[in-house]
Order: sequence, then C-alpha cells, then structure tokens
Amino acid sequence: MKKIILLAAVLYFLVAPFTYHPDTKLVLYYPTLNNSKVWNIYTYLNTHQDDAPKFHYPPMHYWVLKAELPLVKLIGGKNIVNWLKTGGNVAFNDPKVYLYNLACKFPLLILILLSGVLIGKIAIKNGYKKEIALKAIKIWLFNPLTLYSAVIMGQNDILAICPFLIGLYFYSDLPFLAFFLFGVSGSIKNYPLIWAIILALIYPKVSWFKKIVLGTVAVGLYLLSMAPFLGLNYFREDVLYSGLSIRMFESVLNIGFGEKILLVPVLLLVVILIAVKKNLGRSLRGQMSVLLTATILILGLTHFHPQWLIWIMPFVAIILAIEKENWWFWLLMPAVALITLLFEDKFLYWGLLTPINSNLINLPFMGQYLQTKGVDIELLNNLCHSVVAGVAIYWLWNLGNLKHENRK
Amino acid sequence: MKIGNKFLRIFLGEFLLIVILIFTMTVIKMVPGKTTFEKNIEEKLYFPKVFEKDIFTTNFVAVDNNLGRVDVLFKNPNLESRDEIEIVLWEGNKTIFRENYNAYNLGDTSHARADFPKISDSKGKEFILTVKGVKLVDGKLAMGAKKNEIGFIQYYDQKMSLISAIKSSVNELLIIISTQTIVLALPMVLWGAFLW
Repeated sequence: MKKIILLAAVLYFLVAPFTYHPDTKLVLYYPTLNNSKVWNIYTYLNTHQDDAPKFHYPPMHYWVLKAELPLVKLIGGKNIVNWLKTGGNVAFNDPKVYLYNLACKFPLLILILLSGVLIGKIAIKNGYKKEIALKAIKIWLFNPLTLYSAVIMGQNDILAICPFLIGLYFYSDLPFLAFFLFGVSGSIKNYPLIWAIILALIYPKVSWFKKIVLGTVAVGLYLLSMAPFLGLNYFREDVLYSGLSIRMFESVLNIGFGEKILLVPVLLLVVILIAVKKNLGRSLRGQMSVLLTATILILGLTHFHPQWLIWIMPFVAIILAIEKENWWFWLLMPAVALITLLFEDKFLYWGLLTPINSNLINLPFMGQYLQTKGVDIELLNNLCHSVVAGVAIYWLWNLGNLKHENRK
Repeated sequence: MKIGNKFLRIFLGEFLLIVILIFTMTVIKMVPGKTTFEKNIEEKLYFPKVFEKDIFTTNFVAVDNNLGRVDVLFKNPNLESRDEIEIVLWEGNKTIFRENYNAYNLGDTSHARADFPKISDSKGKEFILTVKGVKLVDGKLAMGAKKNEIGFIQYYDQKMSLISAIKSSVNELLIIISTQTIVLALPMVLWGAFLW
C-alpha cells in the first residue's frame, strides 16, 4: 500500500503546482479577510464592500478553510496572502504561481491520499482480501475524476469526503461516532448529509428508533453548526436557498394546477425504499451501491459541475474493485468529459494550463470552436447529460436486482 | 539490490522525471494561443448610445505581430434592442474587416467579435476602427467607450517554435528550482523514495 500511496503522491505533487483554477484561490481568500480576524463570514461580506462573491457554503466549511490557512501560508510564504487577493483571471501570471498552487492544494492532496488509505481500510475491515482493498485504493487514487477534480482543479470537496470516509470506517461497530463524523462532513458541504440520512435508514439490525436517533446525530450536528446564523436573512439567502443548495429540486414533472413532482427526491425515496426492503445496509457492497445510486441520480438529473463527479468515486472505487463489470463507468467518462468541454468556462479546460502557457486563456470556448465546425453543441450537451441520467437509472434498476454476496 | 544500483536507478528515474516535465511543458507551450491588449485599460468605462453620433472612430497602433481579431464592447440593456450597427477595421485605405451586427445577438454587456485573416507583420502599423449605427430601430444599443474612444480588445495570435518552447521550459524550470525549490524538490524526493 505504501508504494501505491507514494506513487500517487509523486504524481499529485508533480501535477498540482502546474495547474490552476481560480476557485482554489478564491475559497482561501475568504479566511484572509480583515487580517484573518473574521469568524462570521456571512455578516462580514454583507456589511463590508468586497468584490468577492458571497460565501455559499456552511459555516463549518469556512472554519475548516481558516484551519487550512496557516499550512497554506507556511508553504506559500507570507506573500501568498497578496496573491489570494488578485483577480482569478490574472493570478496565473504571477511568477510564483507554481508555489502558490502547491500551497493552496497541499492540504487537499494530503486528504486525497488519506482518503485512499481509508478506502483500503474500509474494504479490509469489511472482510475483503488485501488485493481487493489495493485495487480500490488504486482506482480512487488514479481515476480520471479524482485527478481532474482534486489534483488538477484543486476543488475542495475532499474536505467533506475525507471525514465521511472516517465515519464510514466506524459505521458498523461505532455507529454514534460514525454519524457524528457524517454530521461533521455534512456541515462542511451539504451533500454528505443525504448520505448520512440514507445510511441511518438502512442501518442493519437495529430498531427504527435507533435509526432515527443515528440520523438525528448527523442532522443535529449540521443544524447546531448553523444555529448561530439561522436568524440572519442573508445567511439563509446565501447558503440555505442558494442556487447550489436547491439545484436538486429543479428537475420536475408538472402534474397540473401549478403543482409539480420533484424528480430527484422521488428517486431518492425509491432508492431508500429498495435499500430498506432489501436490507442493503448489512454489507459494504450494498451500502456502496445505495450511496452510488443516490449520488449519481442527483448528478444525473441536475445541472452539475463536472468536478462534483468526485462525489461518486469513493463508492465507485470499492464497487469496481469488488466487481468485474465496469462498462457503465467507461460509458460515463466520455459523457462527463464532453459536458466538461462544452461548459462556458475556460478554466475547466484551457485555463487549467495557464501557469505554463498564459495565452491559452484567450482561446475561445470549446463549444464556440465546435459550433464553427457545424456541431450542434446544445444537442450534444443534452445527449451527454442523458447518458449520465441513463447510467443513473441503470443503477436504480441494478439496486433492485442486487443480491447479497457471500464471497469476500 | 546493491546500494550503487539503487542510486543509479534513482538518478535515471529523476532524470526521466525532469525530461517528462520538460516534454509536457514544451507541448503545452506550443499550443497556439492569443495575447490580448486593451487600449485605455485603466480608464473609466462608460456606455454612450450608438446613435448619439454618426460614427465612432478610434486609431490604434498594433503592439505585436499577428493581429487577427478585435472585440468591441456593447451593452444591450435588458436584451431589448434590435438596432443594427456596422464595425469596420481599416489599415490606411484598405478595409481589413467590415460586418453588420444586430443587437439581437449582443448581450447586456458583451463583445461583438470581429475575426479577420491574421496580419503577420502588424506590429507598429496603424489601424482605424469605426463603429456606426446603420439601422435605428429603438436606439437603445450602447457601446463601451473609454476616454472618448471605442472600448475594444486586440487579439494577437501566438505560437512558439519547438526550440523556443524547449528553451522557455528549461528556463522556467531553472527559475522554479532557484525561487520555488519545494515545487520540484517535493515530487523528486518522493519519487526517489519510491524508487529506493
């Protein structure tokens, strides 16, 4: 395992400094505000003049970023604070951009490596052979989604994924600790809260009362972390009702008289009902399938950002390591790649390489280029989203047919 | 394995790592890109209505070779305007570019893009850019302006030769080693540990 982690570390620390995305810089700009003395970022941004966008993540996310900052400064030097203030479209021109990229991504890269170790430990703890665990680690560390989202882009979803995986490690024997950690994870980014609720409802061999108590631990911690801010109008607007939070309610089926059925919640309910009925919580394979199905349904039926696909990878890594069947994953990848290239955001492709060649930022969007070649990019984009949605529905069907395995 | 062989393997491995890095940087540097230049960039931007004047004219001297595009800034408030304008680029009496644009295709601040065959020896040459309204429908379309001149961006095609790209990559790595040592030292130490 050490060799694999070491090899991944070489690759990560080699690639990360040379690739740039403005978000990695932007999120670390917030904790530097007012000489790093701001603890309530929502009030600060709503009562002071600042060009930065509003902070749309929960308070725990901000506090984790504050905790990251000393390490980032230690690696990047004190001038990194000035760099964090520069505009996202010009920051890659700084001669020290490589060092600053490394500094900003360093904590994330450590957490990705740690998550790889955790995935292996989870597999072994659940009775799988070392080879399976190693395969899962390799898939997690070297798959295109982890490399793209976390290493190249430096997206900080890993801040939530890592504590979730620690919780998953304790899921079967220390459930209260596990759900506490799920709560921590959900308080950093909201989506693990959905995972926590599902894992509570499918928790094996316990009464419904205990299931509800377990779920309440995670949800309670989430609410507790936000309690001091819930009375603030701008907090509710910026975080609870932000475009990011309510995106999963946008796929709807009109049923007349102005009423709608929200497709994602409907399908999540179906996932939970199948999982409870089939008692899928009693095996790691079952747990992973349920979490994968729920996550891919959310992504498949919403306008997702390509980097969010990393959410499925901890579960995919374990499933692909256990099973030989992986065609669906390789069907998903080209669709996600095309969706990425069709985004009107150069920093999802050309822009990532601007530290090496800053002129790339002035190239047209990939979609514009394809349009000049006669490609109907709207149709192409819709087809790609349909492929993702199709794979998601396939997984729902798959969940219904899942048999508990005895082989380990 | 003998200690000497291990060191040899690490030496070759580290050399390979640097070669791969130089190769990758060279390839990326050779991807044709564009540099931009904006006249009056520091000046205050405002939006006069296109039909306020018969014609808006701005002279500029190209700062580089390979001028191949200019983008003119417009504002179509609430996307309501259907006015029509003409953008012309001249080099002396020679017309480099001439095209009409309908405001329907312009956003509430967006650029009208004018692409033309790149001028390989453009550096130092003087050009004239004109914008005029040709069909008044509602008179709502406005144009970005700075210091009484048209607000626009110049685009110059850039492409590095193989030799220049290799030289640039090597120079950049040397600068990284001297000013940002940890950037290369960290993966190289880890790679050495892997090969040990």
